[in-house]
Amino acid sequence: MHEDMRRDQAVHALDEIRARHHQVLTATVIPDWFWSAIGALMVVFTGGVESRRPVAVGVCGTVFVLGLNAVIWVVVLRNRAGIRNRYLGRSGFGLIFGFAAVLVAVGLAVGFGLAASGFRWPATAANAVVAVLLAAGGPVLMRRLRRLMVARADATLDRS
Amino acid sequence: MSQPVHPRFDELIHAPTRLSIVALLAAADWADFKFIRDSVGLSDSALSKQLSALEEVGYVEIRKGFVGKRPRTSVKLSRHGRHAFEGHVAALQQIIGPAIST
Repeated sequence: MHEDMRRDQAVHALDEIRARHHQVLTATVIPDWFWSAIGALMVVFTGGVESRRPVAVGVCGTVFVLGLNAVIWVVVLRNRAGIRNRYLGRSGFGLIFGFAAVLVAVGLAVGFGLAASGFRWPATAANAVVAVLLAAGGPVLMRRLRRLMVARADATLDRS
Repeated sequence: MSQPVHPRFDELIHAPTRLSIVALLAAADWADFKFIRDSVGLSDSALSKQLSALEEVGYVEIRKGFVGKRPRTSVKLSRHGRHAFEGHVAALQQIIGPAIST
């Protein structure tokens, strides 16, 4: 009966719960290659559109759609658990929106700047810059979010 | 809004294997059957037996579906199960006593 449970047994049980929480929260959902793949697809699509050649637009658009579907399907199939949003909290959502805002801001700045200077492929170049940021920043974002979620999960177990 | 959590030790949840399973589910909105099986280190039949015990008391919901053409069984903690788990955690914390800062 639980009245006989010793303190160390309760500590062990909470440690087990904490370990299982960590297992879920650290299971890789979005692989690092996802960010590079999305960036590359964006560049292909933009390049096709900026070429202004119907064949290139059609081919690149098709590659973009098929590629995006394939990438998302792979991630969906790999996803073995849906993490609760409560572990993200405001700071987690802030990180995500902040990351997206930086990408948009950089993309727009580079694109308009290159367009103003008469560069032939401003949107493609801008998306290439964004793609590099995605490839580098996406995995970093995921690691930060995982650390945040683990800390929040631990905090709920440490409260008495 | 969430209900207040009252410490309530749950013998069903506290069994070691079920504690591991419920703790996994508590961190997730849902979890794949195979993920639970591989994480806890059980066979399909052993896990099914544990989940049946939890489902009987309404702690978990089991859904069988497809992702594309692939069958997938997913499990989630019900509201009742989540409340029971939170009560159990509170009971464990109560046994431990005041939090010790590390």
